[in-house]
Amino acid sequence: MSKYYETVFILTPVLSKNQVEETIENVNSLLKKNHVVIEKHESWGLKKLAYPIKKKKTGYYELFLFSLDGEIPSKNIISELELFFNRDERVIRFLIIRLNQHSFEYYKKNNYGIKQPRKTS
Amino acid sequence: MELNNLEKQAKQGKEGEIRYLSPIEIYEKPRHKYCLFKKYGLKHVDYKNPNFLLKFLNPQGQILPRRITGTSVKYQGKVSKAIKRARHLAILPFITDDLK
Repeated sequence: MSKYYETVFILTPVLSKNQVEETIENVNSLLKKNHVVIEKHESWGLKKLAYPIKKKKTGYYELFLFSLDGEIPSKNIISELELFFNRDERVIRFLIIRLNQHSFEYYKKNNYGIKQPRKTS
Repeated sequence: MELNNLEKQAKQGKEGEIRYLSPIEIYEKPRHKYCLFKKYGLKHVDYKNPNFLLKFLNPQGQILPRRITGTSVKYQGKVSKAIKRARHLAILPFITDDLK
């Protein structure tokens, strides 16, 4: 059984377009290096923050949804990703969570994006 | 004198000039609360959707208790977790004046 993970991180707004792509590529290569299957990558673009973080009022939001095989030890990969986010100065906030089966099915149904939950009776 | 007249009118059962001296009884049907997740079969609370999470917050951005929203225990925990995740990612504010 494979495990599903989701990560969202915020990049500083002072970056140029190339620098943003570079950081995303770094994350991408880090995940691919560890034999991770990337299910979805989504850029939300420059968004306004609800409160200032490091004196910045906006930020680039990026979302990654990836899955691991059950046999691969996930602890190393996740800690490596955490270390990467902590070391990179361009990342001002990040969140890595494990998805359960219901959550993943919900994402699949709603095409992964940010949408209103569908009302099903 | 006027008071005496009013008393007489009241005893006779006639309508005086002054009406509604006693509070009017208005029957209000109590609204039925329900768990939104159980009703619509939602099994996942998305922390990336601020518009949805707004239903569980008061105008100051605090999480509303279960007794007001009617959410079941199982999903209240998930809702509060989702709200805290959204706050961490600056999708929702920790405190404000005018949410909604």
